[in-house]
Amino acid sequence: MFQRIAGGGGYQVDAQALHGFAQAAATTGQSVDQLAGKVQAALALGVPGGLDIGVALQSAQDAWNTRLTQLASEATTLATSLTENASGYEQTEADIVAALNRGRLAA
Amino acid sequence: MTTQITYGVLKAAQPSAYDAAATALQPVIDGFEQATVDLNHGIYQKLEYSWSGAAASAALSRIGSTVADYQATLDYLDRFQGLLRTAFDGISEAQAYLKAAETIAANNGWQLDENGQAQPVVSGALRNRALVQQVWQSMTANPEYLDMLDLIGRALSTAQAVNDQVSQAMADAEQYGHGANWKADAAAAESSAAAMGTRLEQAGIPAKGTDSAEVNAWWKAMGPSAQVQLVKDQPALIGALNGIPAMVRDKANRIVLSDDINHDLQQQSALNAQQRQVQAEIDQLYANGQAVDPRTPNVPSYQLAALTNQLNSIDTRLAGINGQLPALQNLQHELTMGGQPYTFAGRPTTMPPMYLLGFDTNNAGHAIVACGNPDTAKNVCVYVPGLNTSSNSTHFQFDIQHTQNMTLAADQDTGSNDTATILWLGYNSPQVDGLKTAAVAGTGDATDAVPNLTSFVTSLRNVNGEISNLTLLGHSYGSVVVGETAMASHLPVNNIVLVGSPGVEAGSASALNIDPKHVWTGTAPNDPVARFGWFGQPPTDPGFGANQFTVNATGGGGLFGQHGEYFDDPFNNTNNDHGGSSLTNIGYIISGQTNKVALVHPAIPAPPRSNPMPSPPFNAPSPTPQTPSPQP
Repeated sequence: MFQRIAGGGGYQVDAQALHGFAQAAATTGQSVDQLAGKVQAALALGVPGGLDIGVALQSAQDAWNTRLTQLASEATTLATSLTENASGYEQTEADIVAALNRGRLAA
Repeated sequence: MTTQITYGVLKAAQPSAYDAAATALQPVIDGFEQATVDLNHGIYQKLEYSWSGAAASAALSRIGSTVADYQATLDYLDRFQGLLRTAFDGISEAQAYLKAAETIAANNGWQLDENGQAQPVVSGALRNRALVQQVWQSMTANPEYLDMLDLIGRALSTAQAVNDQVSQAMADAEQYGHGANWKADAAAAESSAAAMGTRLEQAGIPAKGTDSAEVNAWWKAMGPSAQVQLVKDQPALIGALNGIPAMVRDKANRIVLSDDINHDLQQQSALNAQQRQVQAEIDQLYANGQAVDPRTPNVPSYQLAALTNQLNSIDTRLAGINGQLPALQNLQHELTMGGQPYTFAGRPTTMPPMYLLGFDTNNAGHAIVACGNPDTAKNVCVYVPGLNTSSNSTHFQFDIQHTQNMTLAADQDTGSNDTATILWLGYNSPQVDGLKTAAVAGTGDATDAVPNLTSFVTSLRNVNGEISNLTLLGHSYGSVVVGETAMASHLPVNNIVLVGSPGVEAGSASALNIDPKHVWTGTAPNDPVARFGWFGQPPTDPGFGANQFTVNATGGGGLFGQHGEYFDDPFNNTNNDHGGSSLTNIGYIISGQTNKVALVHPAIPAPPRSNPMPSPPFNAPSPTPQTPSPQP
């Protein structure tokens, strides 16, 4: 999947691999988004327990739902960013191939 | 301002609801933990070591920040669930006090009103004021009345404490949910991660697992000042890289060891202080009569239970550090023995230099310790120890002592200091309890060790091209590790030695991808481990096809006494064991003087395999068969 740059200067990830990581990030985002609803339902079970604890749980439901939704969104944003990077690499490769082909034709 | 907890409020509370919420939260925590792992291990760490350039730096910084958010959130979710459990436990206990008070009231014919006030049940006939007063006086004079009031007081104070503390903590955690608390922490973490990433990128440190020849070339290409700086900046990374010279790895790992010792000392001091404080609070509870329910003396109060849990947690952590710290200090001391006067085989000598080639305290700990310099030695032996070896245990000093003995025995044979023996605890040695469970260890840890051991053994020749004899030696379960590793590929070794072996998972010596004439095995006559054959045919069986050398063992130290004697110096040992000819023979093999090894039987050629691997690319001399010595 990864190709080593000649000369030992580091590694280069290919576009296809980046698409794979983007998909993984998107999947993570979806699973966390589903958890946001579940955390709300779980905390709701404690509200009838009464006392100030029940009040705190009532308030915490929205807070945790919001937080997990934010984190799901962060993962989705990462997926978008990785997809853009992959597309950028693909475009660069396509440009290089096109330029080489033009050069060959000109020669 | 929190609610005043009254008798009526506490009676109406439903602690089981908190338990239900905590239970329902578990799948959320599990799912979120998996999401965090997926992001960190499945994406961030893989990209970190495989993607470079400006776009990579920007993307990795962002992903790293998200991973930090996820990890912090997971921590808060855990805490929140803990609060729910605390609420369930605390309110349940308070209601139990209330129940005990109500039982007293019922047994005595008293009634408790909504405010928890007791009243005697006065029949309609008792309208006389004097008689009513008499009934009241009788109730209040009853010792059980005071017990009942005490129980009600405990119930309300316990419930009030739980309500106030838990609801406040939940509110704090809720602030996190709104994103208020974590930002400063996350910013600091992001800054630190970014700085680390920049440094690594600038240095271009090869990833762990990179081919050791490439690592060696990268290191040599760097200037001396950059090398020095890297050892200071990244001692753990540099110290763990196969292909870096031993001298450098030693410097780096000694820094890590020293840091870990200092960290343990600080933790020990802090935990001791916490232990004293919590114990004082517990003592105070007893002094105030708040430790137990007077009606049910076996039931600790809520406060006592909470403090006891805290104390147990502190004790557990302290026990871990108290066990590990002396082991690390011992290791540090052993490293100072290089160049010191020493007595071996009854004669004064000087201990060769010691090198720490790898170190961490994860799991049972990992350490790679060399006696002699592997960068310059002509004879190098890698010794893989067996079950229950732990660098976090003080017993590890005996493994180091075995290593020193092997170097000294080999050097004694050649009369020069050209041997390095390396204790390689670079794998998770199974930590099992007793003989019966040893077989349960399985081969998982051995097969997991194969890539690391292969890389390490290969790296020795990449760093030192002058090695004449490279020996791989496994003791006990270490022989299983050696067997699995040798079967997996063609190791650049001249000899393989298996001692006290419970089998090596190989059908014959030829399966070890080396000329069977260079496979050596030894077993003490009463070594129980070597007799069990947990991992296949004992390598000492003539049919296995290896040379068997003599072992003069006398069996000190109980059932397993002979199992630990293979490397003992009979003239200078601390546990009264006597390895005798075992150490002598091992010394001959390490120093390449295999014609001097005293044999029980030589290697008997096994039938040729259908797909033999190529022969080793070294001029490995074949052992000269000796007249078999009688097994003692």
